[in-house]
Amino acid sequence: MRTSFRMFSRQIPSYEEFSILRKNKSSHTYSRMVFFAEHRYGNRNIVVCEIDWVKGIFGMHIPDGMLSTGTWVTCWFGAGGVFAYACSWVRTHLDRSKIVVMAVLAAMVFALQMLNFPVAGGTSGHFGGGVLAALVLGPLPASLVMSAVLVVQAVFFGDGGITTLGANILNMGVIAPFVGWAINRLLCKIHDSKKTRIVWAAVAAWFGVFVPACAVAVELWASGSANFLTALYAMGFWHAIIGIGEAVITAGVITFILNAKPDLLDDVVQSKGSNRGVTIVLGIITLLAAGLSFLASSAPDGLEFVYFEELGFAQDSVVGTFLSAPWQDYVIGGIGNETLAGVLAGIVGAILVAALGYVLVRFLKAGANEPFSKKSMK
Amino acid sequence: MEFSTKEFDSPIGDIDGRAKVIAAVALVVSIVMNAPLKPIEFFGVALVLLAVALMGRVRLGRLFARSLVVIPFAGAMALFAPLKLVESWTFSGVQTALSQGWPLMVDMISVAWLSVLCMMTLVSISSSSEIYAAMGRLHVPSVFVMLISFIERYLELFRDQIVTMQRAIVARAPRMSRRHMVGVYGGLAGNLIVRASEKGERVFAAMEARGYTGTMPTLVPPKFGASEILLLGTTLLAISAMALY
Repeated sequence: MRTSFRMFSRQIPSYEEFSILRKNKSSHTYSRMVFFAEHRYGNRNIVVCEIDWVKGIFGMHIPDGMLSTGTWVTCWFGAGGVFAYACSWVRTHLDRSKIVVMAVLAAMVFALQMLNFPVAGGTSGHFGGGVLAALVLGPLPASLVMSAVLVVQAVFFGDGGITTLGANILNMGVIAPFVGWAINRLLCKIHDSKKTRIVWAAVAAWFGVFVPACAVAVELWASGSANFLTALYAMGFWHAIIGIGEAVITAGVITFILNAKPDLLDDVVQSKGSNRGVTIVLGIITLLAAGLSFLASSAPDGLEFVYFEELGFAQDSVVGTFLSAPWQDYVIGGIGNETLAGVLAGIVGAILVAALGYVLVRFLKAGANEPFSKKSMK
Repeated sequence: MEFSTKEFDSPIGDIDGRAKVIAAVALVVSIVMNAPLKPIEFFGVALVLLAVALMGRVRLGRLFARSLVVIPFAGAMALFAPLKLVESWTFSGVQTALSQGWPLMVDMISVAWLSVLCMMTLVSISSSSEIYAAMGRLHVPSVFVMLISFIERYLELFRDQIVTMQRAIVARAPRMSRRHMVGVYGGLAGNLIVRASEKGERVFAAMEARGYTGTMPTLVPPKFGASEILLLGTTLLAISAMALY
């Protein structure tokens, strides 16, 4: 610790000096302070093995090859749905000047990810910014901003994969901003003052790191890439600590904005207060649950067990008695990969149920909006 | 900060961005879907990418170094794979699992590296504006393409500001505790957000004064001729070979 403090009092060394200094552990902290921002992506070939190795451990950007086909396709559906809705929402609700402001903020969130802070045991975390973007811009623009950041990282810098981009967007671009925003909003409803808003922002930021980390663990487990508890412990434990750094930085940002330009936060609270965000999150969870249907047990359900195995009815006697289902056993026919067929069947089924539900609700609502109900007319 | 390493004009670099983006993404999807890769598949794809890079007059050492960025990320996650084979959480149990599960780890890392190599090759033979234009022509929402292009445009500015502010912190408070430092970072980030939002408004006013219509113009004309079809056909052949082998 002392050594690293002495380092700070030094004059900033040149890169050649730094190359010598980085050999000891104390210089690592110093390198994160000054040099990481300069060299993070620019001279990656030089610094990657020296500095980035610690960031890689327990990072949240999932590379290609880590998730099974069923999982990454499902995540693409979830992320794609939110992405399409966010794009249309931004186009219809924000004027062009606001979109440009959003774009500049996207660049800033990308740049802020260079802020690294020491965590423990020589590791460090970097600022995520998903929750902060949601607090400043609202959850839907924030999910677009984070998606843009993740696409740039995946395509241009190899941070995160292409097939797993859906999962990365879902974790860091959807779950993080929505969870953080929802928690902040909920807590603000309980008590809203300048001081508590800072505390709530910090709490929201912590959850905005911890919950996506758990989502990564679930995705790895669903893909069969990791044991559930091992992945959950590794991801959850370290991100619970990294979340503290994120919370402190977010609290600092909110304090500064509340003092310097409070209207930046007020606009968001007033204008983005619809229930659509909640609807979207519920939609994603439904789609994900449907998509992960390939994890379902292949054993017969209770009714099937009693009917076929306890009572001894032959399955052939039932098949053909009723209308035959187009996708029996929740698998779309004609697709070779059984997992993919199951995932698609689950997603299409969920969409069909949602569409039917929507039509039903619209129908009932149309009746409810009539000036006089039929009962009162009698 | 380099988004693209394109330095020379080359026959493969002149191919339309759409064809290059589609080919790269298709190849990555194919690599992932065919995992675990056999050695011949792995080296076959690597050789194809090497040939593309050579035709694109890309510096191979630099490309290779940039592709290595994925190793720490993939390596850390791949470490979980052998651990699922652990039967008893003792030293010998973990050791046995690691000795049995290392092929799983190698498979994961090789797929991740090959995928990144593929994307880095794409980035090396295309300029970033070419990729944005391709995304726009492939019907990626214009709002999103604009966001991405702005990240590149303004990243340098914010990076400079962050580095300047970090140097100022080091110069003014050399003995600050780590906890205090994290708090100071919050103020630094807040300052940047306020600056960014104000700058965004000024940027928009300046852009509108110069005739901005909502889309970024590109100097790369769209074309889809024989060379594009040839690239897509070759990719299709490579994918088929991997699938059928």
